Amino acid sequence: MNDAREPLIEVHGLEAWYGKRRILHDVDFRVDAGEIRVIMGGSGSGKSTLLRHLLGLHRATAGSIRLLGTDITRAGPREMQLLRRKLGVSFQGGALLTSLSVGDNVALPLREHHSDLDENQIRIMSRMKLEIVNLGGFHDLMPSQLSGGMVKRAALARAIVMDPQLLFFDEPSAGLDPVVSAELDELILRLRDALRMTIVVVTHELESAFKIADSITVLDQGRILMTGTVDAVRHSDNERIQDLLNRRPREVVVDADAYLRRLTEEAV
Amino acid sequence: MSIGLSQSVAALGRATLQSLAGFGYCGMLLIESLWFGLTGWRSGQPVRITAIVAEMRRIGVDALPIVCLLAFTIGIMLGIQFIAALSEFGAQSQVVIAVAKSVTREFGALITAILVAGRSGSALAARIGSMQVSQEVDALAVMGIEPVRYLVAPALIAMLIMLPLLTVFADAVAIIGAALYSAPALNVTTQAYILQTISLLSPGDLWQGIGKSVVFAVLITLIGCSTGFNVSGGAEGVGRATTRAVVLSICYIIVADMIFSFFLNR
Repeated sequence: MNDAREPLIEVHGLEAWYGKRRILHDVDFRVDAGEIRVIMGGSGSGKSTLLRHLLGLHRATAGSIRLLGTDITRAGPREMQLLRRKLGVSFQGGALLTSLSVGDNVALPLREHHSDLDENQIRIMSRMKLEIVNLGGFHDLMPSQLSGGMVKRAALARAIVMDPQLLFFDEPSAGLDPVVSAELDELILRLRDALRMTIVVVTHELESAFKIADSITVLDQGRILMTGTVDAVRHSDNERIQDLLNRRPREVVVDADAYLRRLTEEAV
Repeated sequence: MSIGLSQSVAALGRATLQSLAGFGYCGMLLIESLWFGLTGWRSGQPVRITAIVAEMRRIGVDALPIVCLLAFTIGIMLGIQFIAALSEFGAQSQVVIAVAKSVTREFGALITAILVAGRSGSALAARIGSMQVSQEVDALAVMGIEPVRYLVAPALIAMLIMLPLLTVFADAVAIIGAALYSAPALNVTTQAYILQTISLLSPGDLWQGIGKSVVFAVLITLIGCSTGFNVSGGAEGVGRATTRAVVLSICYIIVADMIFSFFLNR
């Protein structure tokens, strides 16, 4: 059992570049066992890039990312494969394999990683997880036959089927109506309490973030503005955070010289 | 003027680097697929027999009717052309050997490969491309399931088995097609035509076609998969990748065929 203060995620000096564009600037944070951490920010703030780095889908330009004690910026394929069995991820669009039924999607990680389990055990375990997300009778349906909310819940069932220690959500409420979105928030809270998972949620939905978060990391233009409790973020005197909370658009100042310089550089 | 020239040189340089990167990526896919195929079971990443069988059905069995139709038509067409051309020299009797050699060494493998590139190469690009767009490839990776092992290796193994088999099948059907047209023109029975074909063919003729089909199988799979993995730009990108996979596959197949023919028939 993890100690309540033990960090499951430690990020130090993380930098990410796409070509000549710097996306993340010296990002530092940690997530402790058992907490729900929301990473919040507007569009283009770098939160999806940060998530892709946390999942090991992108290599960091500089800095280190330690998940469950493994430095994924240095880990080899075998180490990453073993680590990934302890992680669950629910993608923004669900990312269910469209060629497999809902039940087979949920059972996929078990079939691939637990050759010791027989088909009956795999079926029971995957149906149990579908029950947890209220999709008990839907295992034989194809992903195309599900609604948006159901796809997300099925993806969640797949993410938790291996009982991961760390669970990641990418924009869980995106594209859902408020009722379904609230149901999903409740589900995330239940998962943390019932299965003692540490959860990282990347979202720009304020209502959802304030409802589920134990702590919030606010990201803006690739930099962490602050990390704190819901109340601390709500009452922050940081202007950008208040802009984000009050949905005030950023004031855009056009620098004509810089624009011309960039055009010339691109032409050459 | 100088800016225009430097832009052209830069574009050429970029295109060259992209091509080299593409070759490197395909090489990596090939090595990883073979690695997983040979040793994946030891590292808990086996290539599933069920996945290979499913791909074999899609690539091979489902293509049988269209391969049969095309090979039969090509056989008849070759019969028509060779009889017309050779009769000018009073050498109609040479039709049997001309058809037999050209089908087994060249047309059987080439036509089958072009057909499979159009059917299965494009399907691979579309399937992997749409999985890439909808983050299914990422989902596989974060579940600890290597996408190359799950998506590329079964397709490559199935292609390596089915394309040579389809080629041999196409050879047989094309020769039957040629026999049905040419035998009456040569005043021999169809059975006699086919028996003469068998007696004229050497194992080397068949192996030449089979050897080519193995190379074509690798080209079709790698081009289809690599274009799929590199899709960007949503549904439109998937469409572009599908077209690109077919065009590139056919180009590389024809170039590879020419190189093979040059070295094997000297």
